[in-house]
Amino acid sequence: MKLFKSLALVIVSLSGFVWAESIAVYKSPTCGCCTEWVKIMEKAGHTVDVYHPADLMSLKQELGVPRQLGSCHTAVINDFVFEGHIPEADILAFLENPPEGAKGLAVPGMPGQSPGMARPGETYSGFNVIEFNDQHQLKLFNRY
Amino acid sequence: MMRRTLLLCLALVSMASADVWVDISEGERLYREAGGYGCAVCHGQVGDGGGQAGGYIRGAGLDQLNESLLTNAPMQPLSTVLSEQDRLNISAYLADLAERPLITARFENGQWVGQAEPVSAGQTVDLVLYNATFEPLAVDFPVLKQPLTLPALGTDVWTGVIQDPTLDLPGLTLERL
Ligand code: HEC
Repeated sequence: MKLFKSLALVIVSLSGFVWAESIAVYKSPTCGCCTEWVKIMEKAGHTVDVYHPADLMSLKQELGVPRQLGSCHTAVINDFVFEGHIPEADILAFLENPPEGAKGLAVPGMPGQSPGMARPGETYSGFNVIEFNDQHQLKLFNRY
Repeated sequence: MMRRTLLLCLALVSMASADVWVDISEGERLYREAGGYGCAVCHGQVGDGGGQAGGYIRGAGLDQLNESLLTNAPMQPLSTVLSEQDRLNISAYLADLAERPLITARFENGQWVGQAEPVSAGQTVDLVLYNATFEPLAVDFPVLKQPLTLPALGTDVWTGVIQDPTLDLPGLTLERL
């Protein structure tokens, strides 16, 4: 984990992007798999602030998450939006070099073999990471 | 409305204690919203699974629901916000869903492919349409009466009477379940 953290720092310094002070995660208080995802991000060395807004659905809309890409939790980092069980590696890759016009990434729904849903150590598989923009246009970002 | 009331009575009769009322619409609302994200995110829009972790639960009974809320890690946190009445309402909604055969159809690589539970002519079905492409898609199966547009990676559910799944859904290759 330590190694990974320093690796992340190296990437940061190489690419010049500045990781936000912390990651804001919006979730419902009764979401267990959201908490599992937060733990994974914390283990990777990030500071996470968790919020429990009264109306999660309208918040997602305000943040610009296309409805069909909805999952349980929404993370905001440097004004970019990350919806659902996205592997940390994809978030790093995205922030390092944000694709032009992109608003954020999403893993729609609740895939069983995704971070926070998979058993610890289980290989991530069977889902796509989707890139979206303000016009709700979608692109494939990564495939597991 | 008639049908719903009838089902309500049926559900009532099948409950262990005869003075329990169930509310299917409330069950549906909970299915969409329980815990702020609902069951749908893990079990599909109409209990069809929708390719998500929870899988197919149409027709699952109260016992199965209680058991899962007790033992299934992703569902355990929900057990704190669902009263006994909520659970009855949800299982009544799941029973109501199971009254209708499910047809699922997915558009990918230029074609519709799907699966259908046994349907007899004139039956009301739930037709779940999923656009697996990255472009919006116009859907014009004659049975829909009005064409609809699915957003990229979007899902829609159509509920209605189907005479023959093959003839009513031309161009859709169906595997019979
Ligand atoms: C965070 C994801 C998640 C949420 C939310 C969720 N479930 Fe589940 N559910 C699961 C998983 C995972 C299983 C186990 C599936 C398996 O073992 O194949 C399951 C199993 C079940 C089962 C047992 C199915 C069986 O075959 O015995 C029922 C019934 C069920 N869920 C109902 C619900 C209802 C009703 C809700 C909403 C109140 C809900 N679930 C919310 C993930 C979820």
